[in-house]
Amino acid sequence: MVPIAEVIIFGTIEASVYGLLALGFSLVYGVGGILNLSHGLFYLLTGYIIFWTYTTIGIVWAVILALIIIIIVGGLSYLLLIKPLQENHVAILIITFSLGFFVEQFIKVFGDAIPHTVPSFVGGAITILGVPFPSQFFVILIGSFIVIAITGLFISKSKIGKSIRAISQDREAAMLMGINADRTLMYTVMISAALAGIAAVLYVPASSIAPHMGWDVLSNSFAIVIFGGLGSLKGSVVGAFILGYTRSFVNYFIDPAFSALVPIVVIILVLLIRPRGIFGKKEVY
Amino acid sequence: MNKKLNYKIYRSDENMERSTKRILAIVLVIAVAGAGLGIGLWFVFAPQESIFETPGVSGVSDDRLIKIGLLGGITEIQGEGNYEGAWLAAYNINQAGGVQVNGTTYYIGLVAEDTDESNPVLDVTKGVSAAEKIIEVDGAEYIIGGFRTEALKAYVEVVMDAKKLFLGTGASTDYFCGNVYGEAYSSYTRYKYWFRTMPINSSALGGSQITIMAYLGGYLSAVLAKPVTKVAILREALDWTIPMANALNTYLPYYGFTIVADIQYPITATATDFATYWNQIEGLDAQITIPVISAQGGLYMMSQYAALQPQCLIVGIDVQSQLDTFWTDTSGDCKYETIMQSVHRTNKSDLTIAFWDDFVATFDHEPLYTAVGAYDSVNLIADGINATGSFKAQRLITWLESFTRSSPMIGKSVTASHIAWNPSHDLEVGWPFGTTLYCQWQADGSKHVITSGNLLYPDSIVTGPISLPPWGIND
Amino acid sequence: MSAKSLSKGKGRVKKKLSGSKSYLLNWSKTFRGRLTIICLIGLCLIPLLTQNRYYLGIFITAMIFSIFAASWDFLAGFTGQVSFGQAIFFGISGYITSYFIRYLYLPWWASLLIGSLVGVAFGLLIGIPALRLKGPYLGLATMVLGLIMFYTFLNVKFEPWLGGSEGISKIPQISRNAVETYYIHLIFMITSFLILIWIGKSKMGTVFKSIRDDDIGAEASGINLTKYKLIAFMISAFFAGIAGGLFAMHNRGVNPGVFQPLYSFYAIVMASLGGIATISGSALGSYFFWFAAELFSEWPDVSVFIFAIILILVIRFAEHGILKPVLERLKDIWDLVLGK
Repeated sequence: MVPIAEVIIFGTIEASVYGLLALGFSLVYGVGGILNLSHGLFYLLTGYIIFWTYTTIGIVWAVILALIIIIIVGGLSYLLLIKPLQENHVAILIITFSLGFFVEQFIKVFGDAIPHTVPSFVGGAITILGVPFPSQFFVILIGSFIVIAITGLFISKSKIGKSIRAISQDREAAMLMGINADRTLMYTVMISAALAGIAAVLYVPASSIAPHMGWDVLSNSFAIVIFGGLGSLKGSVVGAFILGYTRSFVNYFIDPAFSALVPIVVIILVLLIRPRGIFGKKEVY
Repeated sequence: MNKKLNYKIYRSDENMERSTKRILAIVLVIAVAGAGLGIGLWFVFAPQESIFETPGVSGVSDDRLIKIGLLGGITEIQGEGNYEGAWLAAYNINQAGGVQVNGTTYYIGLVAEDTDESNPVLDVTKGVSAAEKIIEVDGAEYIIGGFRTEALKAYVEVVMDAKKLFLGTGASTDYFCGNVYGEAYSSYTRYKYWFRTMPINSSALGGSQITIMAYLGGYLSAVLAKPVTKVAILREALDWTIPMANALNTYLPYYGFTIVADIQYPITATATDFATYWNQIEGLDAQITIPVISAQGGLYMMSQYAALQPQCLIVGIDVQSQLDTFWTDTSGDCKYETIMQSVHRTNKSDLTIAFWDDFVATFDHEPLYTAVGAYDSVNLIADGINATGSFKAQRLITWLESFTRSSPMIGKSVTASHIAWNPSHDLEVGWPFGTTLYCQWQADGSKHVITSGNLLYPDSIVTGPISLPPWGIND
Repeated sequence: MSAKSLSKGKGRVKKKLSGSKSYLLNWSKTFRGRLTIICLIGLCLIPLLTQNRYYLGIFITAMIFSIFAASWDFLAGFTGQVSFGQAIFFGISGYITSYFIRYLYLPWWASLLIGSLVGVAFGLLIGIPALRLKGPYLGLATMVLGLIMFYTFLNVKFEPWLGGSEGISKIPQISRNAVETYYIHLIFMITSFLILIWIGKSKMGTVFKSIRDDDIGAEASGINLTKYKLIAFMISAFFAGIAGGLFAMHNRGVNPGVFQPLYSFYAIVMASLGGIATISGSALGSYFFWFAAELFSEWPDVSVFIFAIILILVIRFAEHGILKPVLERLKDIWDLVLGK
């Protein structure tokens, strides 16, 4: 029974990180109808800011500083680059892609290309259901569940959250009701940046960062979000879990060499059966 | 009337403005055309000032240079190592008065181009274009470098087309030497310009691994008073790991080992994936794990190893662990890892320690294997030109080919006391020829050369004992 | 067929030919036409200036990617199907071309043709599932299909059949003579552009554009969407395949890296730099891209960094690409010079 427990535990851990990353990506699409290809840079930059500063100002301040900076970067990227091009979808794809590319090169020029890591918040390992895993993974699990729950509450209860929902459901009507679509989209991009940043805060200490990793983050979030259905928060979370479990299932029962291939084949198959993803709305396209 | 006048003035104003604009436009067109033509002509015809760097001397004219081109991903560790090693050798040679050829003094000139080959997202056009530039534009006569097989496979053809000597310092695959002699589609006349100076080839790495395993199996069984026979292999799912894995799977059973797992992971594997690999390995009670890793997987492997503490010893290849920065990059999680390393601060040859200290004093970090290879390569080119009195690639090839196992070059290299090439222009291996050292990270952050029981290299160059992880080894 | 109808047919052909002749004549008198002709003559004369393999190599790479970017532009600009997986056709043709040259000893042009036709087959294969998908879903599906190709070819378990992570190597160049290679690529580029532009101006091009602008309306007016979308995919795949085969020969081989999203993004970036739905904008974008890359190659640390900044600025301030604004400015200046 241990292998099944391992698939569940490691699948859940991966899924919780993917979930955080995909959630923000999906929110931005839901509100603005744009695919933000610079999504990976939020993760990457947060990781690097922590890595560059934690030795001088301590890990706690490094995390706070990184999250503040990343939220500002998110807001600025919207105001300076996305907003002026909002009507042109291809231009948005390219400019957000260029932005991600820019940050990758920025890190290469002012840092280096070798993978780095930051020390874990907690050391050692713990055992659940007979499966040992590093304690930091447990922190990831708890942390991301709390954040996902808070995000869910925020979207359903707060004022900004309500505008976000209103615009995702019916942009025209929401604007007629006096909701400022541009400002809401800016908040959404900032929330999305914060979510990706939190994913980095939780995951980088257990993993590592290197300049090219922003693209892995992006393609994972992209895949999950389309798989779950664009703009659907439920879809993002469910998609993340399916991807996480598929990966660890392949690792254990098939062959690790296929763990990169099988999940994307699953995505394509689902997409062919349901062209709008699992929970995609019909009116999205 | 007033109105009319006004209108006239306005008209002539407009005309004035139009003609001024026209003149400006003509000037602009002529200026742009002239500038374009000028830049174009300058690009093609201008006698460019020398782009060659001459470490240790200055003001050497271009015709007194031995022009060496360095190809590699300059911004990343392998290419940087290649450049640093060559720079140090050039500095030493130039400071000592250059190279004498038929009574004239020549100096080493270096030029580097970026092939961007260490980039995980590889674009081979960068390498091809860098190789064309370094030969056709910069005018390099001898090439040193190469690391990533896929990129090197493309641009080695450019260098062979141009018939320039190419000393490989980074790629361990058998392919390139196989081109020279001994494999299907090999062609000596085309590929004879290729020689390998570093590292020893991947089949020999497999042989070294089997030898150290034979020794360690006996040693650990004796120290731990229990049979140590269960081995796991953890490797990147890339072509270069295949020969080594085949060798291990075939020969280790003859030495009494059982391979309990052979895990090939995709290069995109994450930290979580590595936790699952360790759990699988631990579940099978492996006592020794052999990594065969060149990329960032090593980092994950060690951080998960430190957290999960599987009861096994790690002995194998992990390229990034060769760097002295690996200790801080893993926050010390790399302790007890034993890896292959071509050079460490020990008397591998009489020159090694002096080179090592010189390098550390110059660059403030330890040399990567490409740095050692490039250092040797520049010295080889200088010695060859000095010995043959010729700059011709063919004369140098004949000279290099004259060093065989029975008549080696002695006391010239920092990696081995004896240097020789086999018919496929690959380094001869086995002490005192090319050998790999096994170095282990210690709990205090230092790295020791451990014993191979006199099998791979003599115990006289060992710098420390084998340490076992305090959490023990599986039964 | 009666003689009368035959002569009538002949007459029509003649008329069409003379029609296109006068069209070309008129076009060559426009500012745009003249500029194009000057540029083409300029490209033909380059080898007089330099026979250096490296300088010609930059032009050759730019020409290969011009064709590739134009193939993407054809699909995205004319039919509105934004593909993130153009590298699939590029890569498969590179592999097939290399395979036929290296292992079956076919001449390069035959291998290239076979490679591109296999690309067309993949265009059909991918076009069919893509019929059901639109917008971002199509983008993702094509990107993921590209990744599937990448990981399949990279997979160690398939190494005996697909060549593994190191692919196929030792492919000879088209010609040992750099000038000859240059002209062959130039011919390929001009021919590909002529065909793509001609299709764009033909009746089929109009159908494509109507599908792009309003597919439901187009279907309602009796256009067979399935047929035309598949044709568009196949045409696009053919030219991406030509580019892929030329790329493989220029770089002496292929490895799974040709399927990377990187190359698909290259195509998108170049085509949009030049201007979408212009075809010739792709050439401008591609030349701009490769010249900038080589110009900054002296400083490898910062070169791509600077390029990223330029890219952001260009897209930010000229979202429809640089071809049209550049042409307009040039025409304004030219008119001033002529005193118009």
